[in-house]
Amino acid sequence: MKDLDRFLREEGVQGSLLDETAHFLKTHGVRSGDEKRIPDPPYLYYGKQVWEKAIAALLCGENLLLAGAKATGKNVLAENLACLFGRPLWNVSFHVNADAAYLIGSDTYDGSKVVFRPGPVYCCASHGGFGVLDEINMARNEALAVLHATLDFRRVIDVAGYDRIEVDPAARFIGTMNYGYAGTRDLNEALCSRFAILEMPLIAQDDLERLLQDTFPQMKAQMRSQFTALFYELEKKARSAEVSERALDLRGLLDAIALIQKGVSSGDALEMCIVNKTFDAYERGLVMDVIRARIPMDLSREDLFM
Amino acid sequence: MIKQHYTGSSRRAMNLIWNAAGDYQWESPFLAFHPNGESDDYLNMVIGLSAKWLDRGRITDFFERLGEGPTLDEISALLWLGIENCVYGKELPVRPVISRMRKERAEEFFRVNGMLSEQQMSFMSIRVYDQELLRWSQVLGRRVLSAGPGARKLAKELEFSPEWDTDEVLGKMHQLLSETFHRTLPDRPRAVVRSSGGLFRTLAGNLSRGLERRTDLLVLRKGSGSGDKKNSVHITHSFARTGAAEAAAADRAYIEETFGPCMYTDAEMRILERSLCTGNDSLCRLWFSKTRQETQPASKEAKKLWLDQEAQLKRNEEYYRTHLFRIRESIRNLSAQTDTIFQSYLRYDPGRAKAGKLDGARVWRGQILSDMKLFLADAQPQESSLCVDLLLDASQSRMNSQEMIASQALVISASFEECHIPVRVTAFRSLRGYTILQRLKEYGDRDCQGLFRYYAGGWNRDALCLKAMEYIMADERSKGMFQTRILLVLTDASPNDSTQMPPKEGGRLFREYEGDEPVRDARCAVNALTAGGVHTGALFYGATSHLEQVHQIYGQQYVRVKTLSQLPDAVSELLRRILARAQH
Repeated sequence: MKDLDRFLREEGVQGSLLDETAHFLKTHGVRSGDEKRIPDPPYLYYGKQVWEKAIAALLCGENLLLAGAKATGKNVLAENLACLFGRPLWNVSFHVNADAAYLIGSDTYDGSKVVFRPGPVYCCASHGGFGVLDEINMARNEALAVLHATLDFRRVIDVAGYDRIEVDPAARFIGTMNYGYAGTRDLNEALCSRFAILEMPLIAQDDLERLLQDTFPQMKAQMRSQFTALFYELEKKARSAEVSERALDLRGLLDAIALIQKGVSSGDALEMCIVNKTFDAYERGLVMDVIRARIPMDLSREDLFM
Repeated sequence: MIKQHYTGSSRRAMNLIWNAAGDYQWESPFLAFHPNGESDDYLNMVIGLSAKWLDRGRITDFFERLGEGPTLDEISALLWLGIENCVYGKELPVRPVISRMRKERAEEFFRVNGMLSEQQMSFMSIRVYDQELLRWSQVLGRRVLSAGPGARKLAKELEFSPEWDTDEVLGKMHQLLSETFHRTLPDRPRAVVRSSGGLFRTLAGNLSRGLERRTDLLVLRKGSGSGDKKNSVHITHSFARTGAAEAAAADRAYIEETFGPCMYTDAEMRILERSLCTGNDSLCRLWFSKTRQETQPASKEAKKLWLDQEAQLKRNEEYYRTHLFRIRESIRNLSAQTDTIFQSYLRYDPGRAKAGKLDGARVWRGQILSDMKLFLADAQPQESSLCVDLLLDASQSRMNSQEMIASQALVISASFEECHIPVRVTAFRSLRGYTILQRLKEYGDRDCQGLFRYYAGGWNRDALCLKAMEYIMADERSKGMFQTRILLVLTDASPNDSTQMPPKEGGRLFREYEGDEPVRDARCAVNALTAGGVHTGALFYGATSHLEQVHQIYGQQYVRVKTLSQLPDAVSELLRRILARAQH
């Protein structure tokens, strides 16, 4: 956390916000046993303005909705925020069949009687954690209605037949959504009004270079710039709808570099982590053309790293 | 905004160009292919880089003004080698991989040429071959013994410096053009006469095509990339539609005065014509008008047509008023029938559920497998993404039934809109080489008054019109508009046009657009529409002698209509057939 605090000060994030965050940390303890849920993110989020907006919103008690295209770092930011605020993290992956029982909890049999088995939203609310509601717009709006009272000023969860719990003052919910994914739908107004919505921009070129530098300090500068350029060329191609967003995968790009570092050739690594994520053969060809026009296919670890 | 739609190798080539240029809006007039029709990655990258580093407009303008023809294509090819050297040097510091791609391209040159037969070699331009040989040998560090001092001097001249900007590159190209190739650049793009007729044009057209086949160079072209050329690597360009002869300008002015301005920009029309005015329609032009010209045209010819249209508008409205009750009854009948048809089409098949209508055949599963989903649930209607396009033949042959056709179109449109199915109505005719598609009504427009603007005159080139509709619909679908589409054509199934078809392969004479060939073209266009997911059918109101033709073009997907009172039954029958086929 101290590292993250220092990183943010170096990034130029307002000191007053970080001071308040430190105060939040001091005043909101973590239950014993929950420490292991506080994330130690492998990647840092780069983007001063987004950081400032997100920190300010969370300090004001708001829930955050991170809306943006693929590869904008929504989940990275969510994990970074949980780390910065020192809160245990619950991750809820939404899907079309997500329902109240999945989110809040359901009955189960403990061998002698029927008992309530709490769901992730219940746990997060009662333990004062950060709940990441991942791909929130994948779920049907009816399923999300159970969260209304949790997310608004009432901050309660009423579990029918059991209890009515107050949401811990330290608890926050961070939704992520991508408008473009297949199967997504528009969030209804009632749910939207319970979040502060943060439009996530694509990572800036300088920031991506720094991300690569931080993640792979041994990587040669020229190679770093070529991989960065490759990412933006793929992004431009996806934005022009010539290929799907599947190929636009920042995690995939980082994974590919990691594979090259392990000794896999650049062609194979990029094929595994980027090209093969598109299922259409023709589209794979288009993606491969972009890669070939940037990165030689037979680069080895020695070519990429000092 | 109409966007050029590419397929296969063309799309791949364009993607390489866009990627290198960093601009996906640029419609490059150049594409490069290997002899087998595959995209030439390196040369396409060079084309894209020329747009990135140089002023693309001025470079394109230079080549357009240079024009085409065997010698000019040869010069273009040589000048592109100069540009290649320049943009390669500019890009190298920011894209080191380009050096490897260049070497691979050089190796490819030697590999391909090593496999060519003597006969294939004889078709090649020696001058371009020599320059390629020198360039790619230099890239690979090989020595060339066979090239003469003239070729070596030119090779040196074609090493455009990476330091040069657009002015310097163009300056060098102008210098080479005048000093080495002894040519001058005309002030305007070379005009290509596109109208038909005349023995001289016939011969000239064939001669240039014949020479084009024999001139196999490093030329730039914008083509299908389908591998139709047999020899060495090509880059070719097409300027066929960049110029406009004076006669063509007069035709255009007449069409614009009479039918109003074109809905699409010149750039969009170039894309459309390049894609659609091909094969038997290669001498045609297209025009899309939204409204009729409101003000009286100045020219005598156009004014006469304009006054005729005004008079027909009044006759159409009068017919509607006279037959108001019958028309309203037809709308009621047709909406009642089509509502049921559309509703049943738009529903999902019933799904398995724990409540609903018991499915007797599944009862055993409850007892044996404890599967409680023994019922069929009522399905929810799908969200409507269905629309209908109505295409009206507005050729001279419809002159005696214009009022009835306008009313029929009104009945169909009003009935479908009543069922919340958006309808668009387009009338088509061909005149002075232009096939004009005139929008009488837009999707969702409940006011059908525009249909009274229906006016018959001119010829009908059904195939080109159907191709244009397919293109427009595919473009709209790619933008997310209405995924399920029905196209109903009110037709007499007798396509003919005064604009001729080009000569057959190896032939010398232009052919009249009549008889079997236009019918075959129309059938191909309907097949393409169907293959593209547009469910197409025809309401046939032509003569009995054309029944076979309508069958050839539309297969079983047509009904014959003789009177207004038949219309509701005929349309609903046709819809049933179309949607039944669509569900399969």
